Amino acid sequence: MKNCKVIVITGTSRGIGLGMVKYFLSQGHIVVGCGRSKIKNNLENYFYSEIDITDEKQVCKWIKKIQRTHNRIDVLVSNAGLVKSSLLMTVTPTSILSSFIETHILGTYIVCREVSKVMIRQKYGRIITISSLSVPLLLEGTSAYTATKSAIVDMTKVLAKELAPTGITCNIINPGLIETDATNFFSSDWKKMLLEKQTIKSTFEIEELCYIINFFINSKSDCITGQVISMGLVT
Amino acid sequence: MITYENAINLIQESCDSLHRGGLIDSKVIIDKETHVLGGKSIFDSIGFVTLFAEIEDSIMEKTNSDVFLILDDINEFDIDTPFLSAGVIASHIVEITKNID
Repeated sequence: MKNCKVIVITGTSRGIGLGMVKYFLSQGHIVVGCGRSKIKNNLENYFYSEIDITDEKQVCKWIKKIQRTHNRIDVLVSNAGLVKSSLLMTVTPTSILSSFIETHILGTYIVCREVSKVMIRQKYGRIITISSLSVPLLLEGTSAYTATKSAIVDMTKVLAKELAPTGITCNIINPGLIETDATNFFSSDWKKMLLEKQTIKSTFEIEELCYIINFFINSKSDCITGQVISMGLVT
Repeated sequence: MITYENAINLIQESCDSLHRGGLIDSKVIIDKETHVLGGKSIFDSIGFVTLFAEIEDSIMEKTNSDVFLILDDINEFDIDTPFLSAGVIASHIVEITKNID
């Protein structure tokens, strides 16, 4: 396929990540995913590896392997994240904060850094990081989660500035409420509360998130970098 | 394993490859004193990253092993006064490849 891209997505064992994998495969792209779980993968043109993105050496090896196998990385969607129950800051254990820092900040940082090295040599690439609506909404009970998702936004913006001379763009998406197996974890009251805070008060489909990614990765979006799109929210 | 002289040559080859690929503007002659990072470095930050990646690939080609150049692992590297010469990198290459057949 002429416009076939090599798309790397982290956190693809379930939820939004798995949904994105299926969407981009249906568009004729090659998708390389990773997650902490072992999965059965029967999808054509989908290459899954069991990776802990907070382990620097594992990530380095994984990215080198992708480069050797596919010769390039056109797009990175840094999606891996943790979903844990909401607690007010006063009762949030330090272990919860540490796990968010590890996965959201450290993991995203390492993956973006290693993929950037490949993209710099290509003089082309698109990096999209997935943050959260909890950042602009400052949701109560998400202090640890939101602090680390907020870090992803600023990290991506700095990276966008650093990589601008190399033809690589970096952008951020704050997904609205998308029903997946991962969000089944939340109570209906919590989902209702989130919907009430969104400007567009409906749940979204994974395809709608993928349309935004398609906009960022389009070859005509060279001038779009360091931007944040919040689904269903006026900020 | 890779000897010190081979490591210097490998850095030279990596620079030549970047020059051929248009990733650095001018041809660079490497010796052990050449500043690669900080000081009077001939590379900007993007050029330095690209050089490291190129060197990793060259080592991989020569040794058939995954080898990664990580700044934290280079003993002589001090983050507060970031400076690296080709000689320091060459010594590090020797160190990390010494157990590879």
